[in-house]
Amino acid sequence: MGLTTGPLPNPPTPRPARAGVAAGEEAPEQLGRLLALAVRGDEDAWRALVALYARRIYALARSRLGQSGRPRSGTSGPWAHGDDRAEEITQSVFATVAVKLRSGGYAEQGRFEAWLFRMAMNRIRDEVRRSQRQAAPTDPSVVLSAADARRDSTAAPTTDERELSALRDAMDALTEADREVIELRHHAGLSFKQISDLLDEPLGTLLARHHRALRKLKDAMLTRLPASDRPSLSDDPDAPDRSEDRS
Amino acid sequence: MTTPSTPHQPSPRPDDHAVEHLDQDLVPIARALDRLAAADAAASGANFELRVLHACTIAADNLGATQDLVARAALSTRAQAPADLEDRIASSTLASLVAAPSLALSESTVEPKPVARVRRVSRWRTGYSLAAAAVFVIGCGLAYLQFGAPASTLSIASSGAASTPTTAGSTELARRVGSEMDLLLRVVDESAVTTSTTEAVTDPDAAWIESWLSDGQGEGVRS
Repeated sequence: MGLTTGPLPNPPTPRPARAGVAAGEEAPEQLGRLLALAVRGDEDAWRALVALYARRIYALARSRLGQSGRPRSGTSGPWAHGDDRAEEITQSVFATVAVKLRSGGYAEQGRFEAWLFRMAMNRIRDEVRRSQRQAAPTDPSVVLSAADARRDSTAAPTTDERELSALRDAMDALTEADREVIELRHHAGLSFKQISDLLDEPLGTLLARHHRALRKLKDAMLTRLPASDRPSLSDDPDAPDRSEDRS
Repeated sequence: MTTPSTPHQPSPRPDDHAVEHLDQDLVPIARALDRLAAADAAASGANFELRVLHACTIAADNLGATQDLVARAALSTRAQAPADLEDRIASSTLASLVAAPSLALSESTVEPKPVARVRRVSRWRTGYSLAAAAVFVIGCGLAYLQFGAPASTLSIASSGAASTPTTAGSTELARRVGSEMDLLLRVVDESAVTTSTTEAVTDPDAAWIESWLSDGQGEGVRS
């Protein structure tokens, strides 16, 4: 039995924000059925699982490992392979899921997402450590050519691109714990309760850490970007009053 | 070939008293982070889900292989999804392998039961022990036949006879035997010296032996 090319089945549908619970929690029975189908080899179920989680894991890994040509702080692997490494981790995680589900190594107890993202976080940490161990002296010519390439590629960045770039830089300045909460929340799309389960920390601690991290990011953004380059932060007190401009 | 196009869904997290707990001025930063996450997810490119599915297929097809090997093999397809990727996935055995129950293994009777295996091993150990003991006993017997009693036994017997005489007769006997032995050894030594050097024999006892031989009484011995 092979995988069909039909449309994706009905994955657990994300509800609008503030509906009460998170994705994995809002339809545990639905996710359980999906996993049961996947264990039996249902192609549509596999497609649904991949569609639900693969890009979230990829985004989580890419945020930590860096994008092409632009390594994150704390990582020193080859510059051009951040995206590849993120995809490698994603595929590795799903390969493990396939093996575990097939061999009966996973028993669904309503904690599939916590298991999945814990596995992803462990792989990402391993990759970061491996990159640090393999740090090699950098050839100055490589740095110069990379700088040229970056200058060319960002010849005319949009305001949004400048804002996101500054946001990445600001995230580099966060502590490991703060950054972890931010990435699990915004890149992996987990609820705070799921993050609490995953990191085994009290919910209140995580909420406080998230709040503190956002405050640091906002301060860093205000420092790094001129007001004209941060329109999405226009409700901050330092932003120029555009109502006066319009008037 | 269809391409599953599932946008990044970063915020199905409606436990969001998370947002309620935020100060109003931090909400734009939170939204910017969501946009950053969406940009990261979008960087995965086209056919991303297909490549991940392919990795799952390879993992299921190579269950015995290491996970790193599987991931690297799947990664080799990343640069450009081949035109027949969909067909390859369709012809894969992911579903059948994933669905394959452990029925065949559970019904197998080839493997011996654990208890029987333990008993068999126990019998082997007993046999090896008996064989080793037999070889040891035979070896000791052969050694005894070849070399006689062990040296320690001889030394005990000889020292007992020489150092603990119990009667005057036995003491006299030992003394005579000892003197006769000394005499014989000396004669042998002296005769060897005489034969090789033809020097005169000065020892009175050796002279007596020599005269005894010269009288013809020792012809038999000499010959």
